[in-house]
Amino acid sequence: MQSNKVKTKNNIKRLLGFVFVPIAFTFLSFSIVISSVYLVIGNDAANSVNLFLFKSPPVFDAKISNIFVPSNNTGTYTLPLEKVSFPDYGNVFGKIDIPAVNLSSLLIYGDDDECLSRGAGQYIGSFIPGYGSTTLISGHKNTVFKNLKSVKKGNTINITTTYGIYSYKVTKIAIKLDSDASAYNLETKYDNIILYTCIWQDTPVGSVKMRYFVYADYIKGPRFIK
Amino acid sequence: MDVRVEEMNSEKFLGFILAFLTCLIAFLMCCLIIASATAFNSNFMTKSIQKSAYSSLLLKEINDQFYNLADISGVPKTVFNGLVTEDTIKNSSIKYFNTSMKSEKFTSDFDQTSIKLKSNLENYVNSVDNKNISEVDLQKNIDEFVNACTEIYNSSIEINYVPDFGKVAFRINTFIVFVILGLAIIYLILMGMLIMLYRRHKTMLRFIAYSFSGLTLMLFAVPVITDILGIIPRVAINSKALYTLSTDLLNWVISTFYIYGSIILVLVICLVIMYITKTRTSSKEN
Repeated sequence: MQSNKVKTKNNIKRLLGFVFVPIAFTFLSFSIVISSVYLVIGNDAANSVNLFLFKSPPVFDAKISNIFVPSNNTGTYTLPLEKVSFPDYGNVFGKIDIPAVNLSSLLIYGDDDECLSRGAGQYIGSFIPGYGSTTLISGHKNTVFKNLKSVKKGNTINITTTYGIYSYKVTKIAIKLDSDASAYNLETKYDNIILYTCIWQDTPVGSVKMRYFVYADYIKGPRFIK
Repeated sequence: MDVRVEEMNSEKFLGFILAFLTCLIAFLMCCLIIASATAFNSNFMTKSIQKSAYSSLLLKEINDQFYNLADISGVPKTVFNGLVTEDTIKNSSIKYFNTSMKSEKFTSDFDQTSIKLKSNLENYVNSVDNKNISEVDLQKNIDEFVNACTEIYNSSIEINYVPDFGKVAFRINTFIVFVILGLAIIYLILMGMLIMLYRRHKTMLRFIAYSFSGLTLMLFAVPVITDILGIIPRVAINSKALYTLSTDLLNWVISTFYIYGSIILVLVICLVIMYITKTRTSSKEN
């Protein structure tokens, strides 16, 4: 009787072994593989993986989101940089107005097709207003920037953001090639904006390379303390 | 008596070590076989493109860019009618992946399409009475337009990193075969040692079953961990078409682990049944 009990106990132990031994093998194997990778590549492994991953899955069909709450502050004042919440790609973060030509559009951070189908788009390699450098903004010539061709030197361009209202004065208008490096300088040390769109052409097949540029210099608005 | 127990314990310990090592080596072999059969295999890539919604999504992206270009130059969108189809994109993408995976240079097949586009543009221009532009400038604009379309098409088909990945895959594919062969030899030696270690058939079966069940669990753990960490859906790609292709590819690679795991699971079940049967038989004999 006793020996049967011992036998049953041993059999149960062996059967449980088929559950616990593989689990132990798995943990041990993964620990060895992960440690080996860590030893060979070190911290770079995790950093390299993170380079290829977003924090959350990308959303393609509803990329544009509005974070814009218009500011009422019209003056020129300083703002600590850390108090400004920077927009993410696809955020509506402001509004652009040129009262002289009745142009008004939402300002979106990003300039891909989807952004430009919703408003004027800021190139993310340029700087947001107030940063102390160039803000490069594009828009479609037949929609948001339809009236840009009527803009004259001396007109005022207003940009309203969540953190302040900016005014710029148009200083120059030019038609240049899209590949012309002299068309925009993103490394200036003063606040300015450049608006650009495709040129309006009255021919059956117009040039795809020419762009219409409007340059404007800062007049007023909050400036960041870096 | 003590010596006998000690011998049995060390035999058991050696059995566990051998079972673990065979399990680990088998897992590494499976990983390498899966990699060479999927991610490093141009046939797998080709089939993935055919199965995935990549071509239809890329067609939409290309057409959007073409229409944008039409808006810029004031050309009607009808010039693009029937120009680029899903099949055109599928064939170009397959050709691109095949050449990249074989480390060959890709030559675009948009030439015929660009000739057709140019003819569509010329037909449209001929139908316009008031051209307001010299013949030379008009021809220059047409050429610019066709070149811009070619550039859009080619840059949509060609994907960054794929040629580099193809070169690496091409180079290491042969190397992988040798590594698999090497691992297989070590595996057979260890398995032979395990079989030789146990004269009792029952115990040998138990350790082999441990090895295979560990392997099964590891093969299932890879997709489960990938899923829990949510790695695949977070792939950093901004194009919807490319994102769809990449996530589909990765999902199919990962699901191969489930297939391999299921096959080994059947083997494990057989081994466990054999072990139980053997245990019962020996109990009755005793």
